[in-house]
Amino acid sequence: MIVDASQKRTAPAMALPARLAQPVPLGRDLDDTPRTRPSTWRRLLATPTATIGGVILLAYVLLAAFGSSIAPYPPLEFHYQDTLQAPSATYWFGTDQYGRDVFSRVLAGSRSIIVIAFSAMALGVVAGALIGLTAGYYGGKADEAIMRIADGMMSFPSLLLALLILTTLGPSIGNIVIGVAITFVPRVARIIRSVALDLRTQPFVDAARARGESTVYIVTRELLPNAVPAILVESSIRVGYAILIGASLGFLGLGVQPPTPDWGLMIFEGRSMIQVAPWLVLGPALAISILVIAANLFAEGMTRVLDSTERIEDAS
Amino acid sequence: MTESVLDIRDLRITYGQGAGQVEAVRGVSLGVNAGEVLGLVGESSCGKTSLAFTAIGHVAAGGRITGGQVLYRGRNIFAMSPAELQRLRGRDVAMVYQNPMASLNPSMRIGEQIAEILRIHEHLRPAEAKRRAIQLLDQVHLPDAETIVDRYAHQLSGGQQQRVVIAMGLACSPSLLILDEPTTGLDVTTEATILDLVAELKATSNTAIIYVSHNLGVIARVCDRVAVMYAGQITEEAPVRNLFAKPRHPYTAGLLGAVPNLGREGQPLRPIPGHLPRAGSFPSGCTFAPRCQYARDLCLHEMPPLLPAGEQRQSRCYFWREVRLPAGGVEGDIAAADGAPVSETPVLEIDNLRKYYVERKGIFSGRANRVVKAVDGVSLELGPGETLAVVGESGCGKSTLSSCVVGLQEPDEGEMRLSGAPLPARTGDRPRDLRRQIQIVFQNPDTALNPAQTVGEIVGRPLRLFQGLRDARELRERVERILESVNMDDSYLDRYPAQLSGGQKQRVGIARALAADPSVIVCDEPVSALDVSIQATVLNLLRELQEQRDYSYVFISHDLSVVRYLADRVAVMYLGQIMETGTTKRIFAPPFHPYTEALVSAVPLPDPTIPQERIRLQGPVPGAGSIPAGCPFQTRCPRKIGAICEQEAPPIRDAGDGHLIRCHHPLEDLARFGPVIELIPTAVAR
Repeated sequence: MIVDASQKRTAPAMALPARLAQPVPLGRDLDDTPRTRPSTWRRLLATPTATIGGVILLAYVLLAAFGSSIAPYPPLEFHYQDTLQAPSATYWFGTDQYGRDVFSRVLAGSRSIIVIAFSAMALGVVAGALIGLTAGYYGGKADEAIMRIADGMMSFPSLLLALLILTTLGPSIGNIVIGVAITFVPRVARIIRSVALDLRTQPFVDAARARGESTVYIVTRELLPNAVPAILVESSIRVGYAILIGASLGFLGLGVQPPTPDWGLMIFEGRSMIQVAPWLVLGPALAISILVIAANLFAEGMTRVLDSTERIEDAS
Repeated sequence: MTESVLDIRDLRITYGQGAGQVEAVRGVSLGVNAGEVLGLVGESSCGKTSLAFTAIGHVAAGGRITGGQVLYRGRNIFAMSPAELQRLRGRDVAMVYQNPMASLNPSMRIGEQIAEILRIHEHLRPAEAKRRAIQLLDQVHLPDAETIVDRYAHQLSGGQQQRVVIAMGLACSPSLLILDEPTTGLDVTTEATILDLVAELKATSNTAIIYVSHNLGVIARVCDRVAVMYAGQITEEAPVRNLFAKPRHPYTAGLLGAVPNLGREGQPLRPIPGHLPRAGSFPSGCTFAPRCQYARDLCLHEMPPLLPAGEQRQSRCYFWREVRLPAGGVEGDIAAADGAPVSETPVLEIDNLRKYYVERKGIFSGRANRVVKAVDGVSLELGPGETLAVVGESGCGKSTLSSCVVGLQEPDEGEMRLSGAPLPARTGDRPRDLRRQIQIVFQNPDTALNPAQTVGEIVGRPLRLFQGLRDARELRERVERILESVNMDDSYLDRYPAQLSGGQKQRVGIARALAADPSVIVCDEPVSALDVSIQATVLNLLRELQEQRDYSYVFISHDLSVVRYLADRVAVMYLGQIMETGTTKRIFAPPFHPYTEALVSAVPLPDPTIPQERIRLQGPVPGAGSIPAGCPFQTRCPRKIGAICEQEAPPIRDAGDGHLIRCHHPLEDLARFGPVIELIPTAVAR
């Protein structure tokens, strides 16, 4: 037995080389580095639905920005000798009754729909989230009042409500954005309110109230940052709806006015000739469908990633 | 008696895939014999629950067995066919979980749930099954078994639910019963009766029992043999008495030194340094070495095997011969526990505080609104530098009381004064300086900190708000200094709460309270959500801070051991009223209020050798909406006199020295009831 007598310890259970029997200082290097979790972006990229949806969405956004400049023909250019041509190598999506290139018009028409969809989503989500957070935080009668008004608004189908607002305000892109945003407000508010109801009972909010923080501080600094995941998920879901409603309003002639290309409007115009020239409807319809599917795929992936974020934080 | 029921051999369980995979159970061998109670004790995420679940052939989602075997009577559970597994789970091995409500089907009557098991596994006819169900409920001492079979789970109290789950487990006379933290969510008096039931099972049946818990006191009370787990490994295994008397692993010794023991007076707590290793980043060599005072170079390089350490004992420590229980009582300020009566002007005065809730029954129920008296006429005083503990079971109103003090709730009646000046009820009406002076530390550190703010922002906010600090550099310096006082360095400043351990989060919570420079800190169960080895760190920190800065604490707790360790004075609450108040020393010695007596008797002591009188309360706590007439405690009081207790509110009896007891028994009678625990002084009191 080799024991370092100077340490005044009793003999260990087995013989040890002197070096290994040295006492070591306490409280050494416990691995104390912060737990790192892949960032939300990383995990979003690792989710196939989100990646596919995101790439298509991005392509559409680029199209909206540069679509008219890469179009093979000017979207308003008439080709009188080539009216109502079926899709071909020259005119990929065919031509309409004035001989305008449907493909070029679809490219150029992406701008209005993307602008409408994203602006309406942003406006609706921001307003809805603020209302929802406030209602959820206050609770009681204020909450009751706000939510009953929201219920009232939600009893109208979105399209009908948007239509009503637009006929009052008059048709224009700006008014479509406002109309669609208003239909979103109660829906977003409802979701975010439930998040706020959950958050406001958390002790860290109690701590803020006990400090005497103002309502504005509590809503914007304590509640809002923790509602961001829910708000992002809601935003991604709303984009899809905004595209559908925006296109529908265009179809009803309440948005972009002819001859400016717009998908909804193009379907409206092509509708009467669907028997003879189905490609007039097919091009824009395809564009809308792919866009909506992409938006929903992205929303789906977003929901999955951000929900699992919350679960991980709950578990820790 | 030595018939082996379950034999686990070198079991390994791994969670996750690829680079993220984590071994949660790392080579555990363990056996349990018929008629034996094996305690499995360990802190959170040590793998004890994963291990217990393998006895029914279950591994939680994402996990898999990566080595070893689990043998039930010699047969490998993980090689069983689905039919065999079903028989195993229903008949041979029964499991009871922490949350009884989750184990019971809310839409099925209790009787049907028990009968279902009997019909499937014992092929009993419905009438027979129901008769047997009633027998089983009798066996677990549920009063009125005939009526309980027709109830639904939500109509029972937590303790009753857990009894039903145990009855279901016993339905087919299993040969192995696994209890996974069965009393963790329950009140201490209820816990005591469940533990009695387990002890009775041990005495009357030949069932092998595995009792999983983090609570050393509970383990000491019911187990024959104990296995201590740390980071997925068994660190020590020994018969219960030997383990508590002479631990032979530094971790066990550390745990015993870190938990407050009601039976040992004035023993300073010695926290285990550091924190639990994160799964997946275990140090090489001995897993416990970084926190171990006995560790030497060898421990850092080589993982010790389980070494034989005496008769029927094993220890995963090379130096188990050196391990000693931390010596008690040489240092540390034990005078604090004696508690001087308040002589100076109190910092906080609470006078006849009442808080009633009106429970609305809804428009269509046709019933009258019920008034819930959460706090019913409470008067208390808190001296400077004093710790006043408010103890009681869940629903006694202690948390409502603390909310009223902090201003989160508005009392209906009564007054509060801070240093003589009236304290408005609502935070909005309190001047900034009064708000600053009262701060709160919350129970659950996971929710007490805003997950979206960094530690620096969280601790800095009160400085900005109350001291008007704006300069970023000065703010940072002040926050650093405050963090230093809770033993955290500046590397934590920019971290988010999710990047901290539980104990660290709680220290940030305390730092936030300190940042306001308060005079009164309300601590609402500040350690009950923490692991035992961490609790001591926080308790000692609170103590040190008080010695340095003279903070006054209102310490809300259900844990009498912790209260005894920290408090100068104690107020015992029951159904919104204070039943007894006095200095800590007097509260824990006769004369007792019968309720205090029952509480003290119910506390599980982490020492199986301390004799403890057995006083058990019958039935659940009546809802605060239906407070009994006369003395609120009369429905459960084991020392009830008679009609007088049902008709008249008891008088407040003054035992001198600020010790007040609200009881019909004269003091002489109360004094005769004798001590519940033979207190063993381990320190020479000054």
